Parts: sequence; structure tokens; C-alpha cells
Amino acid sequence: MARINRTSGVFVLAVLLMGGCKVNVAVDQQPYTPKLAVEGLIEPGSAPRVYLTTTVPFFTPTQTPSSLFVPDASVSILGPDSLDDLVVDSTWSDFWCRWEPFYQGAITVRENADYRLNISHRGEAFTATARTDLPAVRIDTVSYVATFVDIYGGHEGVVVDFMDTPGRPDQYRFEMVRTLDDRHTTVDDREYASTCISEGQQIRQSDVGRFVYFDDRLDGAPVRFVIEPAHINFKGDEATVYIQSLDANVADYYDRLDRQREANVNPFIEPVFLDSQIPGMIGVFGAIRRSPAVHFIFPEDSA
Amino acid sequence: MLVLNKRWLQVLATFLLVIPASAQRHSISGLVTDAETGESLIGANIHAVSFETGTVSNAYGFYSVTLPEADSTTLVFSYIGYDPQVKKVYLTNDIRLDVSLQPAAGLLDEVTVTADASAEANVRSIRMSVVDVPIQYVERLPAILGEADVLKVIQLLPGVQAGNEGTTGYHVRGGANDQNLVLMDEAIVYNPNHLFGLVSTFNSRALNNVELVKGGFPAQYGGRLSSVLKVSMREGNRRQFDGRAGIGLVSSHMTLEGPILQDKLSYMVSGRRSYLDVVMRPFQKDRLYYLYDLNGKVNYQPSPNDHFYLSGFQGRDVAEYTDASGLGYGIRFGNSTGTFRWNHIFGSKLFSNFTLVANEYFIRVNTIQGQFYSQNYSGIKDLSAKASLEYYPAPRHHVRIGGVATRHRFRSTGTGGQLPTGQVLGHLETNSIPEKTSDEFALYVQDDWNSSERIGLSAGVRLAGFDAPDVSYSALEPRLSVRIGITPESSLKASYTVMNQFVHLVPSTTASLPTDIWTPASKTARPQKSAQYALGLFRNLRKGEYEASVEGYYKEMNHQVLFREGTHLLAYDEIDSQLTFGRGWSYGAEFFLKRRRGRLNGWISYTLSWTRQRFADLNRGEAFPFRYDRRHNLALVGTYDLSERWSLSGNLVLLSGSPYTLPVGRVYGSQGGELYQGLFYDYDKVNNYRMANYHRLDLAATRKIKTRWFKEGELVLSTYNTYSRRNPYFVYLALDDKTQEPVGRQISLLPIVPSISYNVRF
Repeated sequence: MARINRTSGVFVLAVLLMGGCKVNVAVDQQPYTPKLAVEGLIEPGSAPRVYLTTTVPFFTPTQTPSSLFVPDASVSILGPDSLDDLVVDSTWSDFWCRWEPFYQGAITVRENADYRLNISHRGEAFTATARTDLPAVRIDTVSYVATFVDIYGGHEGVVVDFMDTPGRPDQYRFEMVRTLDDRHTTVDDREYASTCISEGQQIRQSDVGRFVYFDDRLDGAPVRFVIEPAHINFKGDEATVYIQSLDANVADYYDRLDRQREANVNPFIEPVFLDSQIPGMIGVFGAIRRSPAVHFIFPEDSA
Repeated sequence: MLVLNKRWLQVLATFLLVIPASAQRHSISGLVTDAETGESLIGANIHAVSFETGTVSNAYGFYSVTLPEADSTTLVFSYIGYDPQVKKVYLTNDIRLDVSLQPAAGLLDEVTVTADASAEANVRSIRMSVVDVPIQYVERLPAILGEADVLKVIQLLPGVQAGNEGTTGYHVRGGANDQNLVLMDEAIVYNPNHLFGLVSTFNSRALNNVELVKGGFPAQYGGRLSSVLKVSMREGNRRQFDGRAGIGLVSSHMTLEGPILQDKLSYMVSGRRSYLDVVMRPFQKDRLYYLYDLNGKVNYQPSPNDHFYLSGFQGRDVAEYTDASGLGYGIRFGNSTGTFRWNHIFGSKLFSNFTLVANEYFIRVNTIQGQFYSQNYSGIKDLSAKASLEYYPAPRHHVRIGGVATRHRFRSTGTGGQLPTGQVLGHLETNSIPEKTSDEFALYVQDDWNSSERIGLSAGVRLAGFDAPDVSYSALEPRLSVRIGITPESSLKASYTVMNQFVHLVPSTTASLPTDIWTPASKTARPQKSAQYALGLFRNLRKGEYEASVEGYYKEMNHQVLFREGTHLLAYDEIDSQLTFGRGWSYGAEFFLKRRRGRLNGWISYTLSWTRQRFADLNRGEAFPFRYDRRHNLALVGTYDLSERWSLSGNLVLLSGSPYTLPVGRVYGSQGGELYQGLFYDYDKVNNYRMANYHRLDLAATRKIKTRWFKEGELVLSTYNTYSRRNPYFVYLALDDKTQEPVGRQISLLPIVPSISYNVRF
């Protein structure tokens, strides 16, 4: 959020050269009815978990996951065998130093099955479906490169090679579950520094790549992800690497999040609207499938 | 390959054959020129008194009027700013009659004399939605930084509005910036602005005539949807040497002209350069800005029936800024044009013109902002050949037929991203950019016929085509205008025109990035197409002292182009894949009241309009306001002759705020992992907010000064934005320094800008 800026180069240049003035102006909040925002990713072998929050008017002071959480909804998932009424639960994030509430299910999601999410809140009903028929890919190798250059510049990177599943449209993203300690307190290019990892404490943290890969141009081809990890690394750090296969709804939503975030901080990108496959809501309900885990040890410190 | 429909060929042939035959008629034809300089006068009025008919001179000063045989008739030649001339001729055979008009002695007379002929055109001409931009107004109205500017005057006319200060171009009847065809001596000028749009590329001292067409387009014009701005460069004084120069706060200019061979060969050169860079260099070494433009023209008339013109223009802008924090910009852009023309008069009724044109435009932008950089280059080079024949079969009957072929060569590329730590932005190599080549051509015929005092009809058709290696397009564009005289002082006009546009300038939806890229039509980016309907009531009041008009229009625009959401446009060379296509429509009413005589003259212009767009991939498929959709656009323009030495002028503009996009809500992202953590934006609609209204008052005072060294001298004092209104330039989101919460931040560009300049003629 530190670089929210919609200026363009020539405008700023004009201002600089011609001595224009810059003032904060009152931007009237347009009438805005908060919406429900949902993130529910189901995966075979796991119990469903649904994050349900409310959106807020734009100029509302920054909120926390707890303050935005919607606790009074009725959330259920109808599977092939049973109806699972999800209940409010939460976890403590050692990294973000906060409670993170969600709706937790009890059933175990099965492969090749259809699931229906039903949300009822204050007289409104929302529904969405997902099918757990995603194939898991197999990671061939995980390696490390000290420097690579992408559109974000030059970085160290974790290199993941795998083969795209042929004959179908696929979407993937990277995930790494890591053990962090008080040396790894920053994230996302040091925009955030954790304040609650105590000395000697070790925590487990999932690091999901923002970039979503679509195989629409290279079906069945070898795929290589070169990922800049969210956290700095030291020689000997251990991690578990996955490739997530995503269904089309999940891929579309997180791709939009990725592109919007880029647009929000980079003045050279057009703004991105967020939508959902669920009318009246923002967010996504869909399926993911992790590849078999690959253990990885960082061979050196990051720069 | 183009396929020309046989049925349409028949229509064309039929159209050409309807030219009425004449019997026992004789033609009077010739050139109308300035008596002092020998330059052609464009749009001079020729009136045959006893027949109550007449014509106007064309773009090269040629006229032809065919009348029934008679013992004698009286012709009156008149032109804006000149003393009229009366000629008596004996109509027993065809006559060649070249006429030189003497410039009027004083400004007050000048305005008086001009009134009737031009006012008559307001009511009697078939054409509508056409504005001749008076050069004397350009010179007399307040000018920012003392630079008299044609485009600034155009922006004060009905149906025309500027972008915000600092944005380039102007917008005509809801059209985008790229939908204006700007011709300098028939060469396309792709960007008619110097940096920030504060000053146009047109040095008014080098100009002879400017005409803006907003609708009812004659068939010789095509290739753009919304307007044609036709700028003619001065030919150069064919009788004697003449020089003009001026010095202002930020720039100076000089124009030299004169004969090389008396009355046969003359030249004109004009140059202008800003020296802000020189003045500021001792104080601000981290920024650089300068502009210059050069105009040159040579014309040669070896015989009364042949006239050759060679003209050229080049304009450049260079701006750089760097600071210690790593903020850096570099922008360089410019236009170049070259035109060779040959006029040949085949007889008393047939005039021809053949033209070869080369023109180039490029923009190069390097930007570093925060950790991000972008480098962009967009360039276009054209070669064109044109031919036209003008036939004058009868009084007030004018047929034009012609063709044009243009080869476009485009080069565009860009790159961008996060700048690696410690790395310096390198040079973007342009020679290696792949070139896209395409051809554009057109054939047209246009017949203007005032069949009686009450009825006039202008009908034309243009066959326009485009050919690229992988795709071809062709289209027939009908053009129709009708005039119905209500009284001698009023008329009703209507027009219908179809236009196609085979090149696109791709803008961003909200940020107005300095990365506008010209790109040719392709399989994906189909040609833009418009259909425009206009209806107008035209009336002169108090014997031409006042000229008034009300025009309503509706314009439909298809295959409009914008970037897709989330497009990182600088990272892709394949622009087509980043575009989305939709339609736009605009409608409105334009009111114009002009006083042509007296010490106080000027005009009031008001436009009420709506412009919207709809793209399937943007704004969830719903219609949204065009970026320059402004409901009200009011301009008051006036000049007042205080005395023989002093004159005052001013203009007041008031525009509704233009729309822009801000999110209305925030959404929490939870489950994506750390890199997704945080609040995202919930956008409701594109262009959902409007900036504050824009208003501005400009004033100028001019004092003529007698000096022993120069023929004429004048001192011009002016203020732009006299009461220093902080007009919104753009609004963006920023973080409040204290609360770290999002706030709107408005940039205002120009406070009051006083200027002084001194101009001389020698």
C-alpha cells in the first residue's frame, strides 16, 4: 500500500517543470453497499475452509481480518455424501500477530466430486459450485538460482520444473511451506516486518506465489517456475515445495488479485476490477490440487 | 484484396454523369491573390451581381464561375480583411481574370469589410459544421506564455473541447484524440502539440489559413472519425522581402519571406524555439526542457496555369528530469512533414492538384518512478500521393474527384518492470523494432450544387481501403449535406456522413499515460467506423452583424479501442492482444453567436453533450462515460479596440469536470498466502467520479508601437488563468502522511501565468 499512485510520468514531469500544486482533496465516498467476500478453496483429502469477510467503503480506516470477518452467516457445503455445516473457527498467525477467523468444515473432500457452497446472510443467499477433478502434477526438480531477472527486476529464485498435464486447460501456482524464525521477519520486499516472532521461536508459514500460470499456449509442455520467495532465506533453511493446480475460477480470481495489486502500485498498469463467479459477491469458491511435496534446502543466503 | 462491388461502380459512374450540360455559357476563372504579397487567398468570395450567384476560391486561390452569355456583368471579389474589388466583364467568351485584393487599411475597417461575405457563407453554403479559424483572432487573443496558438482558439469553438491542461489534443463531438485528422499542407501531423499541450506545433506566423470540419465531411476527407483540421502554410511574399520577429519570456520566433524571382518564385521560412532550458540551467540542472519548430515553403509559378509548392515542417520536444531519489523522466517526440504540390489549370473550368507527401512522428518515453521503470517508443512514417480534379460546370456547382494512396510504416515497442538495484536505464534501441507496413487508399467524388436560392445539395462518396500483409478492409462512405433556405437570412441544414479510420491511437482508460501508441488496423483491431447525423439552423442577424447557429448531432462510433484491464502495456510488443474493442456514441447541441462588426467583437459558444462508451471487457460490459465527457462547455471570446494603439482581448471558459476512476470499496484478501495479504480495491464503475469544474479567464492587451527601426511593432501583455484558479489536472490516490490511510490528491498545473512579448515587422 505504500506506493498507491496513479500518476503518470508525463503528468508528474509537467508538474515538476511548470510548478503545479498538489493538494489533498476531499473525495466523497460514493454510496457503497458492503458486499460479502468469500475465499473457499477445497482440496481432496482436506476439510473445507471458507474465509468470509465483508468489504468496506474505500475511505474506511484499515481493518483487520477479525474486524472484517462475518460471523453471523450460515455457511454449508453440500458434497456427494453429506451436507457439511461449517462453523466459525480461527487460528493465530504467529507471523502476522493476529487471529484469523474462518468457517471450518468437518467432512473430507473427495476426488472427482461436485460440491456446492451455500451461504446465507441476513436474508440473502449465495451459492457456487466446484468440482474436484484436477490432476496433480509431479514436480521433476527444485533448484536454486542466485540471480534471475523478471519484470520485477533481479532476484534470487527457487526453480521448479514440472510437466504440464496435456489435453486440457490447466492453471498453476507455486506454494512453499517454510519454517521461519526471528531472522525471517520481513515479507514482500520488506514492506511488512513481523513483530511477534520471539527469539528462538520457529513457525510454519505458507508462501503462495502470486503469479498464476495458464497453459493455453503450451499445452503439455515442460513448465519452469522461477520464484522469488516472499521471505529472505539462509543457507540450510528447509522448505516443502508444491505446485497447486487450480480450477478456472480460482485461477481467474487470483490472477485478478495479482494484476490488480500490480496495477495498484505500478502506475503503468490499467486498473483491474474484481469479480466473482458468485453473483453479488466478491471472491471465489473452487478446487485446488497440490502436487506431491518436494523437500528443498536453500543452498545459500539470499542477497 | 479489395473487392469493389460492381453495383457501387455503377453508382459512381452515374454520379459523374449527372453533371449538367451548359449551353451559351461562358466561364470566368482565375486566381485571387493578396495584392501586397502575391499569396493566394483561400475562400475569397466572388459574386456575380446581375445573376445573384457566385462562388468561392479554392485552397489554392482558384475560382471559376460559369454564367449565361451577356453583354456585361459585374463581379465583386471580397475576402476577410481586404478591400473588396468590383470588376465589370463582357461575357462573350471564356475569360481569365486574376484579381489581387488590397489588405484593408485598419482593423476596424477590416472587420467591417469581412462581415458580409463570410456571414453569407454561414447561411448560404451547403456545408455545415465547418469553422474557418480567423488568423487575426489567433494573433489577438490571449496566449499562454505569449505564444499565439491556433489550437487554443479552436478549443473555444462549439463542439470542441481541450483535454485537461497538459493532455495533448482536442476532442470534437465526443471523439477521441486520434479521431482528428490534422493536415499541414496536406501532410498528416500525428501529434499537433508541444509538450503538455500548452502550445501547438503550429507557429501562427507561418500560417495562411485554418479550417476545422466537425461534420458533414466532404468526400475528399477521410481516415478519421471526428474532425479534419486543415492548416495551410503561407506561401511567402512574392513581391517584396518581409520579416517578422518576436521575443517572449520563454521563446522567440522569426519569419522571413520574399521573392527570389519577382512574382514567380518566393520563399518563406519561420522558426521558433523556447529557451527555458537556457534560462533555468544555472538554477536547475536536474531538469531540461525545450521545444522548437521550423516551417519552410517555396512556391514557383512558371506560368499562369502552373504552380509548384514545396513545403516542410519539423517540430521537436525534449524534456528530462532526474532527482536524487531516483525519480527520472525523459521524453522526446516530434513531427516532420514534407509536401510537394503541383497545381495545373486545364481550362476555365478544370483545376487540378497533384501532391506528394512524406511525414513522420515519433515519441520516446523513458520513465523511472519508485522502483519501476518503463521505456516506450512509438513511431510512424508515411508516404502519400494525392491527385484531385475540380470541375466548375455552372455557377454554384462544383465537382471534385480524386484519389489518395498512403504507405504507413509503424514501429512500436516498450518494456518495463522493476529496476534492478544499482542498474542504470539503458537506451532503447529502435532500429531493431520490427516494422509493420500497411497501405491506405481512397477514391472519391463530391458534387456540391446549389440548385436554387432555396435548395442546395452536396453529395459524395468515398471508397476507402486498407491493405496490410495479413488483412484488407474496404468501405464505401456516403456523404450527404442538404441546405434549405428559409429566408435570405436563415437556412436549415442537415448532413449525414460515414467515416472509417484505419489507424488507432491506443490510450489508457484512466491514467493518461505518456505512452500513446499508434497502431494500424489488423485482424483483431478492426477499423474504427462512425456515422454522424447533424441538423442545424443558421441565421444572420442585423445584416450580418451577428452570425448565429444551433446544431444538434448524433454520432455512433464502432470498433473503439482501449487497453484491457491489468494491461502492462509497456511489457508487450504485440499490442493487439492487449486491446479491447467497443462502441461509443455522442450526442449534443451546439450554440454559437458571433459578432462580426464593431469595436467589440467575438463570440459565445456553448455545447451541451453526452458521450458514452461500452466495451464487453470493461466495466462489466456496462456503458460508462467517455474520459472527456463534459456536460457543459461554455466559452466567451472577445476583442475590443480601445484606440488605434491599444486593443484588449479576453476569453472565459467554463467546463464541467471530466470523469475519472476511483475504487469505492476495499476487499480483504486472505487465503492467497503472504503475498496476497492485505486490502484490495473494489471498483464499481469506470469513470465513476468527476473532477471539479474547470474555469479560467485569460486577458491580453496589445499596444502598437511606432519605431524608427521597424515597419511595425507591438507589445503584448497577457495573463493566462488570470484569477489563478486551481483547476484539477488529475486526481489520484495517495497515502496520507499522518494516518497512512488513502486520500484523494489533486494536481493543479498552471496558476496565473503572466507573459510579455514584443513583436516587430521589418
